[in-house]
Amino acid sequence: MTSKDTVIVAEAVDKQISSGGGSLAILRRLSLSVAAGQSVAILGRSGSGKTTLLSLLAGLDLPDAGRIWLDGSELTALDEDGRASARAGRVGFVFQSFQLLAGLSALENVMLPAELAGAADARARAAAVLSRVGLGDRLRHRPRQLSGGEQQRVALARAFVVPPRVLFADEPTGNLDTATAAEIIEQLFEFNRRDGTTLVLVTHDPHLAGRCQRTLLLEDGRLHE
Amino acid sequence: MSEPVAAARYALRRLRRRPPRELTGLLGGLALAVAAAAAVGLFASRVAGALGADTGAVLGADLRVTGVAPIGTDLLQRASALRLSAVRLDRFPSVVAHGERFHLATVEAVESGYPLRGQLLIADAPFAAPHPAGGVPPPGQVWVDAALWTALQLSPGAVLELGHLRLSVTAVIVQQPGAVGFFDTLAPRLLFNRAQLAASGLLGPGSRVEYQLLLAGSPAALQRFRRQLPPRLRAETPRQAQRTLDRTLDRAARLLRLAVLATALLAAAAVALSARALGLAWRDEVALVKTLGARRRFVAAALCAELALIALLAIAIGLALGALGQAVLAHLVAPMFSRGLPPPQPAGLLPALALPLPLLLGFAGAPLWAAAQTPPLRVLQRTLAAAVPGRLAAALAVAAVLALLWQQTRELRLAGIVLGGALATLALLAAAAAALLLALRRLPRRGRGWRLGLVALQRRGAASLAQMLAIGIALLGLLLVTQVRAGLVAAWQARLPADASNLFLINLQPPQLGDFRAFMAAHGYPRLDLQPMVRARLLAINGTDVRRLETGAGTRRWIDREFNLSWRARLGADNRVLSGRFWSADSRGRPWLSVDRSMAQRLQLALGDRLRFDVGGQPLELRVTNIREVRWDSFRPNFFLLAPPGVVPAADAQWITSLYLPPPRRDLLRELVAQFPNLTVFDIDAILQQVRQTLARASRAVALVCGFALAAGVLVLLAALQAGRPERAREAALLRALGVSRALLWRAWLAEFGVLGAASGLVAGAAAQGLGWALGRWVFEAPFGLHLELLWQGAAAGALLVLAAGWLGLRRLPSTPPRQVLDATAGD
Ligand SMILES: Nc1ncnc2c1ncn2[C@@H]1O[C@H](COP(=O)(O)OP(=O)(O)OP(=O)(O)O)[C@@H](O)[C@H]1O
Ligand SMILES: [Mg+2]
Repeated sequence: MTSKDTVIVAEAVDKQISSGGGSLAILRRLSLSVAAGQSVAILGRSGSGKTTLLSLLAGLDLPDAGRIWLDGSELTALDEDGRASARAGRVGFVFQSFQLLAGLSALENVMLPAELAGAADARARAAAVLSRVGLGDRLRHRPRQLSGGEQQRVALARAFVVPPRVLFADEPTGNLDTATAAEIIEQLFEFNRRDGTTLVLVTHDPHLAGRCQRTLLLEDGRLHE
Repeated sequence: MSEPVAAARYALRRLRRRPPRELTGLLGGLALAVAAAAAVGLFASRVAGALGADTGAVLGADLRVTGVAPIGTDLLQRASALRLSAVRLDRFPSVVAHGERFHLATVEAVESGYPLRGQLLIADAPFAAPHPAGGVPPPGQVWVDAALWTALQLSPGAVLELGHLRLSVTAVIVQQPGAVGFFDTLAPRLLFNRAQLAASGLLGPGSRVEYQLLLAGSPAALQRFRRQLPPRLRAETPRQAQRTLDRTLDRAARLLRLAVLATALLAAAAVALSARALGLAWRDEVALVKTLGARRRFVAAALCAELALIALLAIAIGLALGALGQAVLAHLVAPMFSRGLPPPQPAGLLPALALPLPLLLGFAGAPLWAAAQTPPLRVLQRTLAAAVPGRLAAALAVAAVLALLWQQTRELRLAGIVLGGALATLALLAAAAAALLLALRRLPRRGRGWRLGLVALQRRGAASLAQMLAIGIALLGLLLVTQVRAGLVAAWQARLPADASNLFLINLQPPQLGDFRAFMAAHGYPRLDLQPMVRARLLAINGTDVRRLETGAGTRRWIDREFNLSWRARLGADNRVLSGRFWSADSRGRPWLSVDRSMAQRLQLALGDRLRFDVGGQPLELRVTNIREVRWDSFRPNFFLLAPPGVVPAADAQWITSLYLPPPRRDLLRELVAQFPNLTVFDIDAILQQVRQTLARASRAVALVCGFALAAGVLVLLAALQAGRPERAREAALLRALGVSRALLWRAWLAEFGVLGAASGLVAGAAAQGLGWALGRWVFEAPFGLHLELLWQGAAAGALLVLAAGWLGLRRLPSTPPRQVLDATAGD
């Protein structure tokens, strides 16, 4: 079902949430395939299921029906540990609310994935990637000592400290002003160019969507090109 | 790199980061519990080592083997093969003569080397300055005690006839190891050289000799020697021999164990609170790490590795503290042991090393396990978290408490009381806290800060309740180890007041009673409690001749001797009736008998049994109407057997009394002995001093170990307040954002913490009162009365401590910009 060039395939994916007595269908027979190195923007109204879709594509959650492949592994056939292994070293994340660990410094936050990947030079790598995003002088600062834009750059550095095959980003500029957002977008595509990372971005930001090779609209539980 | 190794490395790196605040309770709790257990364990190992060597003074040996036949050379050979020092001692009653006078004495023939433990002190004449004997009486000489000296009206160098021997009296025995059971051997005693035993001709058939072998050496060798002992021989350790000193030490050991237990339980509370907070704090990282590709095994392994590292660190800190603690403890009590304390044994560390595992598994296991189960999806859905498995958590905690209790007490009764007490206390605390929270609604709400604080307390509901419970436990621990401990120790010391009798006067004859009373009244003792006593030989039980009773050799010999039978109308305060009823004052002449519990057990007596005695040649049959328990350490004359007045033939009675004679008035003794030459005086001042010193030192030792519990209690307090911190921070930020001034915020907290602390303290005070009473009643046999001051002490301490801890924890919050707080904790 996947070739070397397709990193993400979703096939007839259903996802419902149970609320109160009944259940609400969020995704209905949704299908998608993303080629390696592509940049894809997913748009949609608030509550349309964009975050839900992202969590399924990354294997953080399972669909109620349908199958999903990530870089050759069929996520829907794996248990939680198997899905974690499928992500290991291949997937990066950037979130709207940054999701930095408050107890760690910027450097330590960025080191974390490298350490987990067993990199011997985690510290050096983290420092290097932090200076690439312009935070070379803020290594020891804690998240709460950084502005929102700076925090998101730390998150970006964390996502790329081990160059991933796929980067999932959930409204990465949602909490930022236009100028800062533009900076972040610049750096995001810089990584995409240099490392050939596939980008899957959920966004409301037309500027960000415009930079992507593909733009998909999530509506009524399905994707429209 | 394999997963567990990677996980361990990850855990190690995590610890190198700045440790989270939440870790304090976990690390501190474990360290304190280990420290307390190690201090007491090591210390106990030293005392145990010293007890064999030192209360050895009680026996003059580490082990005494007694038989009714001469000690064979095989036993001596076995002792020397085990490298034990051994001396023989033969003891028997015999009449000694000096000129015209005769007296029955307990004669002891000793070999050189005696005593193996303790010291033999002698003097040139009664009440002269004592000095160490430095050996045993050389052949041809005899040493006698003051009782025999006065009874026979001896003078230095006087010649005593003992069997065929003529021995010259060269010293008075002042203190002799093994001579404490003074009611067992009422007869005065003398000591001579065993080399002359055969020549005395006193060992003929029918003589009642107790053949003793005294041994000293390493505990292991003694143990082996005991195991190979033929059954007809009885072995006795100093512990068994010295009941008074022993009970004191025993009670002290119990208090120490209880203090360790209190520390461990408080540490458990600190660990539980800390682990809960730690688990909550770890969820984000777990979710993130899983999102980045970590498998559950990795997370679990990392968590275990981290816990293990924390435990190792805690053990290291705890052992260091414990080593220090035991050194101080040893320093406190070392003077009680004339030869100092031996070095601690590594085995003393076992109880300490056994602590961390149950503490961690039982109290940190469930919340941390739940943290490890956090689904990766939490990175996108901030409210997602694995619930702490409630039942598993409760089961683990209960199992851990049971394990702790068993490990630390090894005593079902104590463990039961502590467990029951802990559960009852928890229930009481919870109920009282809930009631108090309800009552708070009615509190007048004047002042904005006050109102804001009370509303906050009310609104947090379950959280407030949990916090009150935790604070209550901490305060209870604090009250127990300070106030209740002090109360118990005082009650316990009160059992041996400063004016407890230090002299026993016996062998007063009935015709002398009037003169004696007059003499004593003239010298400031108008109301002496004089007790009569006759020697009674037991003939039959329920009509069965005791000679046909099937018993062991020990009981046989015990039956064969004469019993002291006394009579009185009213029961002494140091006696307690266990079954049956003690007679009323008008039971004069009734053929009734009251029996001490140990004797009833030994002879398997029941209420209604008829015992026939021979009292001075006359038969006397008495029926058992009650069984008593006697507190033998009350230092008052007590008897195994009591009858109502007017039934026992009184003609042959001798009378006995005890009194307190202050040291400056010792001269009175000389006069007394001159006036009543047949009077025998037992001076137990030295024993009393020893017991008092033991008490005082033991109390200090207990206070020291309670210091660990105290620290653990403070830790619980901090952890309890820490638990609510993130929420409080967010709330403060919100209120500040809404325009509430810093001052008002502080006033609200002041109100909230003050009420929280005072209410918890009040409940803890009540619980401490109850627990103190139960401990006094069932564990220490020392009454712990009503201490209402515990209530306000608890409330005041609670309010103060919670306010202080609250200020420490929150002092930076109101000045932190609200946005930062909201950002930092967003989504939680
Ligand atoms: N944990 C949850 N429990 C119940 N319902 C949920 C949960 N998470 C999401 N939903 C519901 O699922 C639907 C899709 O949510 P999702 O977060 O995927 O939307 P979204 O497109 O990302 O919206 P937004 O643009 O606001 O982030 C919404 O109706 C939401 O209310
Ligand atoms: Mg969303």
